[in-house]
Amino acid sequence: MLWRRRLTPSPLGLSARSQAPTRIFADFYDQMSPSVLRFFARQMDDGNAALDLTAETFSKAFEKRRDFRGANDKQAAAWLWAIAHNELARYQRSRSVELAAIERLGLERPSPSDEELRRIEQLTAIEDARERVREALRTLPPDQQEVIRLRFFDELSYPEIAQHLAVSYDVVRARTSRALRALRATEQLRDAIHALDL
Amino acid sequence: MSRHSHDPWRLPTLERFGAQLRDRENTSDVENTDQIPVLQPSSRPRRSRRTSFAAAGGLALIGAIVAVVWLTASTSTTPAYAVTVNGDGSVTLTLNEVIGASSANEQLAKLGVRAVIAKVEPGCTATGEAVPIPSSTFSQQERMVETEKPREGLSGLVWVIHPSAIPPGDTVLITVQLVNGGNPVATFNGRAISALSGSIGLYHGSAPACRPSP
Repeated sequence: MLWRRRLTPSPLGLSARSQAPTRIFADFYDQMSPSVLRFFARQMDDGNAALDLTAETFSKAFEKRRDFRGANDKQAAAWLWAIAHNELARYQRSRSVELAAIERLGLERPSPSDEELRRIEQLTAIEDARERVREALRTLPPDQQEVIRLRFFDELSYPEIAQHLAVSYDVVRARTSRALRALRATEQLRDAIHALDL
Repeated sequence: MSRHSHDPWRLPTLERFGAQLRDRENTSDVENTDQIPVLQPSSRPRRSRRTSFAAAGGLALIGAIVAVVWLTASTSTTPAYAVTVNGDGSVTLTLNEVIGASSANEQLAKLGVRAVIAKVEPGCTATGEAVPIPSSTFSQQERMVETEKPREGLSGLVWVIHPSAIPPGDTVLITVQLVNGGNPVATFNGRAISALSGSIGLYHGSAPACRPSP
């Protein structure tokens, strides 16, 4: 299969003829599908449509996987994102999701529970809040930007940040505290900070 | 550098869809890739290379059975069989030697394809409930199994099975037999040419494991 034979071994395990001969595309799906769903969810206020578009994107990629001519994970991801962007453009033109590849493959479209749809809304809100806070971070001194980024975006613990920055634990706490105080001073950011539980 | 051990976007519904793709991939890839010869699926839609009946020569329609005789010249490096899943979900079955039938059957079963190869054996008493395929509905049989022209050279019998066209509960039977007892029937460029004959039938339920000599 070209998909297997053309690719050189890669962290995604896309190529590996010598590796397990099956589940190669499925591994790619496992790796990439959360990011693709996040991408679609942030483009629209419709969790169902985001899931459908994610499923259709991967179904199209699955159908076309033997056409893939790249040589590494980065190229594989770029190839997938091109398909995702095409699907989004098609959706934006027609305001409906085409499920052609899903149907051709005989797959069942995603059927999220209400809880999952609420979760998508929450996650999208958190992503938006993160983006707003990330923008606001630019107004802070660099040392405060760094601790906020490490603590709340990379989710390192305070001791880990201290180790990473080669400063004391107390210094990390003080920088964090000052940064949050500055961010909360901006009214428009209060909701975002609350959403992120900063 | 994210510390997420579990991506919050990895929702159960995504996992379920992934499981479908995984199943689909499992059934569309043959486990032993070394046994896939030059029959790699094309990126283009598969173009049928169905044999014209005139070219097939020995083809005959006998009740539920369609038969074709093909010359074959296997070498020691030729795989006895190959089972390859095509991009459209069909399965290409190549049989170069009768000895490959049992392994090919295992592979077909693994893929969930309701088709089996049975050898013609003297004294075979296995029976099954054959489904008549009248000549007027011959296209129905073609939709289930296409017989392809040999590839480069003389490369055995090649069928393209369309699992979705096989009626639920029924099994396609592909009967194979060495012509002339396996003795050469001709020579070509100094190579001994033997002949395999194959026929296709349809059975309700399971198909017989062998077929008696005529």
